[in-house]
Amino acid sequence: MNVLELKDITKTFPKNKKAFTAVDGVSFSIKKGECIGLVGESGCGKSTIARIITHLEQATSGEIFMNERNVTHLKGKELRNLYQNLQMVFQNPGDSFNPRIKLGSSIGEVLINFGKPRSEVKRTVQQLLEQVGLNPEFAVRYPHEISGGQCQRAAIARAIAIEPDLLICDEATSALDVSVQAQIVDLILNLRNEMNMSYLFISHDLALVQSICDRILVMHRGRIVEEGSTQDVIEHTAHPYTKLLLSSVFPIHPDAQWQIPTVPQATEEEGNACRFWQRCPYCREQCKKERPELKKISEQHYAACHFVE
Amino acid sequence: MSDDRLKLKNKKLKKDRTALKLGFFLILAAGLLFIACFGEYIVPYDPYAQDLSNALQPPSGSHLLGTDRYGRDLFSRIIIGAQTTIFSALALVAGITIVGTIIGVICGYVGGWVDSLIMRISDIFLAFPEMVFAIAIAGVLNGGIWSAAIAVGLIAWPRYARVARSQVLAMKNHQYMNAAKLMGTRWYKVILKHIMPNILGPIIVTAALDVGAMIMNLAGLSYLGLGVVPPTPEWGSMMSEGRSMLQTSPWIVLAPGLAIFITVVIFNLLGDTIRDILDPKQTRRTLNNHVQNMKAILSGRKKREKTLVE
Repeated sequence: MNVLELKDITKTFPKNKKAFTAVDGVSFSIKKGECIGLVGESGCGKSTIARIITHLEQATSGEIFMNERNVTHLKGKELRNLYQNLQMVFQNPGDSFNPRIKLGSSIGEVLINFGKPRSEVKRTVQQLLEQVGLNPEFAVRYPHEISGGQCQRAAIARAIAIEPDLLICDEATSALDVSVQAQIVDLILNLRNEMNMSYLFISHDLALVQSICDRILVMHRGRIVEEGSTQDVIEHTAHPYTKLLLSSVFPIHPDAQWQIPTVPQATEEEGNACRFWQRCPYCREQCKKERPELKKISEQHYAACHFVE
Repeated sequence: MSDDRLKLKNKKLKKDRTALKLGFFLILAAGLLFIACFGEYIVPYDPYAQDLSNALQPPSGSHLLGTDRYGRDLFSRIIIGAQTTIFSALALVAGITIVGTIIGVICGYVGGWVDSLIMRISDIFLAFPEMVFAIAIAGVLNGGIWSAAIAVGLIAWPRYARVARSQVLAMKNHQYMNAAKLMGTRWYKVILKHIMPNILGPIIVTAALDVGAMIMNLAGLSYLGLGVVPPTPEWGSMMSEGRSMLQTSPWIVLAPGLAIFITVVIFNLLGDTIRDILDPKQTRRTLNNHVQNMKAILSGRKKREKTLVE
């Protein structure tokens, strides 16, 4: 059963009178208990997708299904109820808590909002804090009194408090330093084993995603360019952009196989060209004229490039 | 002592001094309020009692600030006048703070056409010269201190609405606002629990700095005869009454003038101190600051000219 399904989601923002397409016809689904990684460079639309799924932003077109129910246009009370099944961990841990409210009250707020009796809230909050590896005494601390890593743990505690079906981690580790990142990843892996939640793990760090996720979606400028199981994507990489990402993950090799000219802010309308052709070393005439669609390479492995088989 | 420790000590001293200042001005303001509250028990004479045989007496032992043309004791009238002046100013500030904040929060939170509409209306109010507009409104209303207060309130609310609105808009960029939505917090709780506590500081600062100005505005309207109705003692109207005798009996104008001056200074300094405490990022614009700014601008221009010549 699909916990989440996106169908042809498009989001355009007005930008200097022209429409800027941040997300362009993205479709994917997440099964129950599955952990999906969404990777791509800055500005490729990863976070926009997270904001669209959580209804912080309305999609321009396309449909969202949660647990097989169309939730695209939910409002008011129904939208509130949706959040019982859908929670998000934000990028900047320090900013995801109200600075004037103690952590315990912040975590308790979500419990009270979704109908937990007040008498049990305090105990539950302490259990949650323990579950994410924090001292239960942190409940009476203010967000600025604890470190970024601890804050992110608290944010995770808040997100899993009502045991949602789907947890979105939007760059949940990128504001933290590497050793703390590892701890948070460990925590997420442990939670995965304990609770039967699905994850959408958004990151620009392919190595990180690789260590957590079952499947990987690679996004480039608003489109999914490669989709497949972690093993397929990492070991049988099909799309040149994924290769680029992989080569940037392992910069230890001094003789990088290929140099990629970076195209800053290439936002002008390319018509039907492949959106990667300016940076692609394998670019041919066909790429400038025809936009590649996702092609099946093997079972559960797709890539949007003309030259994959 | 090392530099850092010295700096730390200075910082602490400064903080202590701010706290001390706050205490000092709070006591002064409380003193004014006390006088306003218990004026009836302090006054040596009935402020309304006329005694024509004692008219236009200069300040003396029996009449501390002298008497006016009807022989009424000016000291008593000023004490009782404090009630009208200070309470109406405080009530006015409280009123426009509440109304302006509610309007501003609605604008910032709802956004869209509601925001545009209300902000354009506030633009209309801001576009008129304040005092002229207030005089016009107070003239249309039927007089009395409350119509003066309404007139001043009508020209002052847009500032509060704008402060509150801009604060709410800045708040919206914080992730915890999104988090609150995801936590299923209802909109009124979001406003009360997450927005209000975080934006209250600048609003209180605006209000505290405005008390003095409001006293001035109300006294100004009263001076023009648009505020309180005689014989109620009010500082502005008292000054107006003494205007024609300024050359022969200057104390009739000077006494209420000094009362306004002292009150406004106390409330302004109190507002300044509150600003220093609640909003430490805003530096006070002292004369020294201005001089240095000017110097920086001038030297920058010279440098630019130099490079251009080169």
